[in-house]
Amino acid sequence: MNQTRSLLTLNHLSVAYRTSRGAVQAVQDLDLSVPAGRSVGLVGESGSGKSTIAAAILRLLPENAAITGGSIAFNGVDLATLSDAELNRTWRWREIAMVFQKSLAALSPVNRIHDQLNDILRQHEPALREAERDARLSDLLRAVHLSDRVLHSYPFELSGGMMQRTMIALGLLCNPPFLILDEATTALDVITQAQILREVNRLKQEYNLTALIISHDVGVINATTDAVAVLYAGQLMEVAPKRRFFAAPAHPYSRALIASVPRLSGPRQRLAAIPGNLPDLLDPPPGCRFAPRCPYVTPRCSTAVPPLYDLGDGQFVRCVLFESRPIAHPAEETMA
Amino acid sequence: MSAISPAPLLDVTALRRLFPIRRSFADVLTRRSHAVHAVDAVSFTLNPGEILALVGESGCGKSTTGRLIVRLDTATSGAIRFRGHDVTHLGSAALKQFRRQAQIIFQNPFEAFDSRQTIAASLQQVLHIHDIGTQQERQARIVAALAGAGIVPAGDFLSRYPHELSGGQLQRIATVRVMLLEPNLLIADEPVSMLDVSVRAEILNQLLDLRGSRQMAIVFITHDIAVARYMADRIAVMYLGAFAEIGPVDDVIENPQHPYTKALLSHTLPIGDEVIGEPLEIPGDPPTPIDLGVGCRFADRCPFAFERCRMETPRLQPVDPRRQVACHLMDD
Amino acid sequence: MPYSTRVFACADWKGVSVSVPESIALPQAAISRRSTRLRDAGRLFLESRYGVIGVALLLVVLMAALFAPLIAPSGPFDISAAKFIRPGDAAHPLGTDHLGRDVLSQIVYGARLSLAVGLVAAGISGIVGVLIGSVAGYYGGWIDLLLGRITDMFLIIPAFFLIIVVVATLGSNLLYVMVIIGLTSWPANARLMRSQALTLRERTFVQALIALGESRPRILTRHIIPNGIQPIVANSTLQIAGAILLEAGLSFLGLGDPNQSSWGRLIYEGRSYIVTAWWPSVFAGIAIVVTVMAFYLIGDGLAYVLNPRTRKVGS
Repeated sequence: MNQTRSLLTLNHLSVAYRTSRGAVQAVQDLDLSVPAGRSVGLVGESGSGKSTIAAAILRLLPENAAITGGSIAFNGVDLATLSDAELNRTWRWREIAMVFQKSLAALSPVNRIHDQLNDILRQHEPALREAERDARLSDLLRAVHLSDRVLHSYPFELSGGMMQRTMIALGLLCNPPFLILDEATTALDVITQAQILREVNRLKQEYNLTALIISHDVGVINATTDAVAVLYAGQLMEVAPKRRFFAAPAHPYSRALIASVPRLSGPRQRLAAIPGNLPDLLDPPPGCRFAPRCPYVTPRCSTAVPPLYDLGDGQFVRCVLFESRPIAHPAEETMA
Repeated sequence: MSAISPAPLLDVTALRRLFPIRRSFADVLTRRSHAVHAVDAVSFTLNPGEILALVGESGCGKSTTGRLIVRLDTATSGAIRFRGHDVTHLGSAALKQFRRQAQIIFQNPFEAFDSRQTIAASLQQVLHIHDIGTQQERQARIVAALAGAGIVPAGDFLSRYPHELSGGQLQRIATVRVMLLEPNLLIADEPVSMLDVSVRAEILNQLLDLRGSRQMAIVFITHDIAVARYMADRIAVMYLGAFAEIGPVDDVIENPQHPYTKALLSHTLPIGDEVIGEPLEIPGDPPTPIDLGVGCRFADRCPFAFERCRMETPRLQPVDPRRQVACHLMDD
Repeated sequence: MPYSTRVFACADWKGVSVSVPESIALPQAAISRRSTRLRDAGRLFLESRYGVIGVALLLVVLMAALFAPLIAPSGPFDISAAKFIRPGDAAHPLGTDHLGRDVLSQIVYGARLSLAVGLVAAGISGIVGVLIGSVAGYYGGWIDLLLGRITDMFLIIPAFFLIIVVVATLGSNLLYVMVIIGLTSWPANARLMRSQALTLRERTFVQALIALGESRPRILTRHIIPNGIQPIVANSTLQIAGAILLEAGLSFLGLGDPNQSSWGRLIYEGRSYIVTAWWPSVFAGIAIVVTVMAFYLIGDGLAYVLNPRTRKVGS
């Protein structure tokens, strides 16, 4: 595959939360790059740190959380060092837009959609005339297959699917090159979710978007991404091109994750449950955080966090089972 | 047919639940009343040890159907027969007896327990309600039930409060709680949709094992057809309060007949290199089922709708002995 | 909750308010939940600061009431003939009134009366309010309708006026005052409890208990009331303060129980001499202010603890 320029590169990123019971390292030493024009999926369960990563990129972490190490390079600029004002002026929304699971809360319930979108557009593009703004809004809604009628509605009058479409339109308002979808279709019904994901794929082409798609659902990841990054309890366990990931997952957790999802076709065999629970992040297991639940666990798993091993073809895995393979160096790390 | 098939455990006939909508002043003057048809003429039977999946999108009435069966809600009309007895309007004493045999587990395990009670107190309470066993027997029963569900050492969990446990643990304990009553029928209302992917399989397997060991019948309510396929013997697809089709799970999934089933299946996200096929496009969102008139509920979104679909409500009709579909296309 | 849809914080920029899902805020599932809720509540209460000040003030008043005989230089009605209207000195730290009674003694004994009025009245109000509100909210239907109408009726009775009428016809008696305040102030509690019960009865754990066969009275008394009572507890602190003020007001109008030492009456009797002898009225006034403030501050602290928002962010 072509080596493409990386638009977003996370280098040794660590994020910690301060809680009343101690510090929680929600993201530990994470390396990840998202090449321009591609879309990368972050898959993980609750507490895996996937949403924390999204919040860290836009520097929208809650007050009790902080980036404790590493860098967030976006187009060569380290977002981790910028001020809030700088981020607002040039980065948030203009360069990186984000759609959350429950977007209704982002809009005021007492104003019509049109007035709210119009206000936001005016803030960002003060030069546009009223008519131009209206045309732009109509175009955006058409891009997400919504009629102009939506503009004259209040947020609560829209269905969940229409609301998420509106939020995607809002995300595209300033033509950002980078879009983050954080569980954006999780609360939606099956058909609506599939329709919106297909539109996301189309918009990625049309607007030449680079995307980071965060989900707990491997089906969503499969439908929208080129490459998959698997997170478990704050550690990046595996990175692989999508096909590789589904056909030949390397990390025991990746394998267990894929094996635990019921399928619509194929033999109906008993699902292999992953025994145990997610670790307590206040007191995480030393070394590999999946070790306590891993069927292949060795004593060495608990001595140190294993490095990422390079399996070739863009697949990297953090597991001692692959220690015969070369260790990947983040600086050279690229993804398919 | 009835001569060979066993007597059904559960027999639901023409079950209806209408939720009246507050009337406006104009409605009062014109004597109109409006209602949401949450469940509209649902009929099915369930045999002992059988698992029936109710599948559909949010608002299709699948949860209301489950709640009606265990009498958490009362049907507007229709009948629910359990082992031949009509349980639709049981009085409180008989209802309590019925509840020993028909139980329900819910979607949100974090909400299933009184947060002020320890797990032990919550489990004890169930045996106390139905006056089962002495104090020591109860304790032993509870420990055995927890151990049976793989929750060991049980003593570690008994003194805990719900907020100290994970979702997967709570859902397993919620299942243990209802199993203390040894019911013959369990309504499982989206029991894994709030859980982490890695612990879902554990709950699903627990339910399958209970069916196997206790011949317990399950009405498994889910929005996820793949989960329904894994769990169920038969599957009923619901749309706007009514069954679109019902039949053996493999038949329905491999050869869907109703256009809505086709749409639902073709929009299920594949995993890996699974092939799902071209999506059957249907426009819009499901409307709210207010004051449904005649005609097929799905007609407005159905790509195959023709005149008759808007004139006449299709009834569930057998297309083969085990399979029923509510669609006028079947008549051709 | 893994895929929670609740939203906890909003960052605002250029008109786009972006809500961060709660799941980001805390990987809750992954955090040990072993700490007890009581300890959390205690920590939050300490954090609220106002609550702590309130408790400290209340402790002072409580001590005064409990140990009145030890603190007071004399009995509240003991007359020291030689000392009419004297300012504070060693024997009478807060001075004496026009009958030569020690002001400090009257104030510490008055604390007993004020606390008793407040606690009994708020207690009656709380018990009646919780019972009526929870039954109305949980049972719903015609019971709710009926209890709702009764609640409305009590809501429009002016407590102060009713007490004046009762005192005027039956004579002044502390018991009447306490009972009437209690019986006229419960509707606020009933409304709070009703809305609590309405929410709680739809909660999954209550639905589960119904399905498990638990009886309605037991669900009401063992689950609905214990889980829904917190706002009534917070409200009761305010009601205690209100009752104390009401009693003081009555006494100030000369309608108090003449056999009890009361702060309100101290002000009432002192007002004729206020130009020459300010101390009986002023010190009694300070006592009222401190006590009422103590309860308000405690209410504030409790509201902070019970607010789900502070609970989340604080943990």
